[in-house]
Amino acid sequence: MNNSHWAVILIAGLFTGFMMGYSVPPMVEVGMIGGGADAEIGLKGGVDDELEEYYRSLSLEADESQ
Amino acid sequence: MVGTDAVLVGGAHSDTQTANDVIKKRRWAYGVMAFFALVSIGTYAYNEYYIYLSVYLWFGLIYGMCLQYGRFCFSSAFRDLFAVGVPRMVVGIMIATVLFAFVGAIVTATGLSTFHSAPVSFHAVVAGFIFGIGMVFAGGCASGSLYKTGEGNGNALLVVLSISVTQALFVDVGGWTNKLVPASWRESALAKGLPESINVGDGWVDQYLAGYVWDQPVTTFAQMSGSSNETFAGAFLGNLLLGVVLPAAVLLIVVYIFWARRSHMRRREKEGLPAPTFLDELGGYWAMITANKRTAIAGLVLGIACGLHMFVIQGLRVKFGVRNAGTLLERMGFDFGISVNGTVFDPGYWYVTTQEAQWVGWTFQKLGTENMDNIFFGFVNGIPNPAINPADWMSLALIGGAAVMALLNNEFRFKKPTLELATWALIGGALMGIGSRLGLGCNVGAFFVRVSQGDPSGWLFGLGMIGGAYIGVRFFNWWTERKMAKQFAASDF
Repeated sequence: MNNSHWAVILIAGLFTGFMMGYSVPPMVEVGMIGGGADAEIGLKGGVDDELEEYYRSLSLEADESQ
Repeated sequence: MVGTDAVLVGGAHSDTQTANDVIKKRRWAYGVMAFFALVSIGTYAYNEYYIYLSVYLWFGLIYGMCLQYGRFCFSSAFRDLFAVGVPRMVVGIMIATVLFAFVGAIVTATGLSTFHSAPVSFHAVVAGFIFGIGMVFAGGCASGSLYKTGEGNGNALLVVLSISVTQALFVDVGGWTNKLVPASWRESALAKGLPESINVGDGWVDQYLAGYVWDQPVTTFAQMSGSSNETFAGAFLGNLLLGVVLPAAVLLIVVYIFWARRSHMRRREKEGLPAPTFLDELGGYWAMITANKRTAIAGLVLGIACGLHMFVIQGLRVKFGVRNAGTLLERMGFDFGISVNGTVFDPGYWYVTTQEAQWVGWTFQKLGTENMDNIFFGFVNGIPNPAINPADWMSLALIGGAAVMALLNNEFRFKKPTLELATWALIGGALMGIGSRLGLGCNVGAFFVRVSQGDPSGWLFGLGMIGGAYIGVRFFNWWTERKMAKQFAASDF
C-alpha cells in the first residue's frame, strides 16, 4: 500500500462517510436507532404534556356544550 | 565498452519508461476517482435524491477495489481447488462470507437490514449447477468478470455481455417454450391475478416464477430455529452461528481433509516431526485459514461494506419516505421503465446480474421489443434508463473501482480475447445468465449475500454451484487433453 492507495481509500471513505452521516439522523428521528426496545416507530409530533392537557380540556368543553 | 554503455542507456531508458507508465496509470486512477466524485457532487447539487444513486456508486467502487485487491473470483476458487488442489481462494471466500455474516447479523438484529430471503427449493440447486458450469467455462464468475473487465480484460467484458444479453432474452422467451411448462405451473401462475399488462400465460420464466418459485417457502435459519430475524438470538445464534459459522467450519474441515492436509503433513515429514496429534491438525487447519491474508483482508472490508451499504440505504429510504428507488425516479420526472408496481431493481445491497439484464432489456425496449409484459422486467425490476438505474451505477462503479486498484497496482492491461477464449466466454456467460435467472441471482446475490444473511436457499445454490464447477473442471480437463492429443498426433514428432 503506497500513498496513492491511501489517497483513493480516503476519497472513498469521505464520500461513504458523508452518506452514512446523511442516513443516520432520519433513523434516529423515527426511533430506529437509539429508540430503545419500546420506542414508537414513526415521526414524533412534538406534542408535550401541557399541550395534550389543553387539547383534552378542549374536548371536554365540546362535550359539555353538546 | 560501447556495448555496455548501450545496455546501460537501454536499461535507464526502460526504467524511465516504466516510471512514466506508473505515473500515467496513477493519473488515470485519480481521473476515475475524480469522475465518480464529480458525478456524485454534480448530481447531488442538481437534485438531492441523486444521493440515493451515489450510495450505490460508492459502495460499488469499494466492492470493485476489494475484489481486485483480493483477486476474489469464485470460478478461480473452484478451478484451483478441483484442477490443481489449491484451496486458498475457496478458504478466502468462506472467510469473507463469515465476516459479512457477522456484520449482517448486527444490521439485522437492529432491524436495519434491507435483505429479503428467497424461496427455498430444489430449483436453487439446479440453478447453481448451471451457473457453476458456466463460470468455469467462462473463466470467471459474475462478480469476477466485472472486476476483470476493470483490469482491461476483453474476455471478461465478453462474459459480462453474454450474461447480460442471455438474461434479457431468457426472461422474455415464450412461443414454443410454453409447451415445456408443466400444467400445474401454468394454472398456479394464472391464478395469481397479476395485472393485465403482464402476459403471464406467455413466457417460460414467467410461469416458472409465478407458478413454481413463488409457491415455495421463504425462511431463514433464525425462523427455522423459532426466533425472529430482528432479535439477538435470531440474528446471531440462528442466522450467524447455525446458518453460516457452523456450515462454513464443516465445509472448511472437508477442504482441509481432502486438499490442504496433505501439504501440511508433507511439511511436517520434511521437518522430521512425529505423527500429528489433534492439536497439530488444528494447527494445520488454522494455517490453511490464514494462508491468504490478502483475500481475508478483502473479505473483511467487503463484509463491512456490504453491511454498511444496507444500513445507509435503509436510512435514505426513511429520510425520503420511500420503499423503493422507483418512487424517487418518478419524483425526479423519470417514468420510463418503471414496473407496474412502481418499482425498479433496488436491492439495498450488493447484487450483480439483474442490473446487467436491465440495461440490455432497456436497449431492446428502445429498439422496439416489448419487454415490459414479463414478470422480471414489467412486474418487479423495471427497465429504467441505465444512466439513472441505481444498480447500474453500482456495477459501473465496481468496474471503475477495480480499474483504480489495478492501475495503482500496475496490473491494468488491455487484453484482447482469442477466438477460442471468446467462444468459451460466450458459452459460459450464457449458462451463467440462465443459472442466474433460475436462481434469482448469481454467485453474489444468490450465494454470498443469501448465505451471509442466514437464507438456506443460498446454501442450496452454493451446493449446485460447487457441483457444476466440478463437472465444468472435469469437462475442461477432458477437452484440453483431447486437444493436446490431437495436436501431438498432427505434429511431425
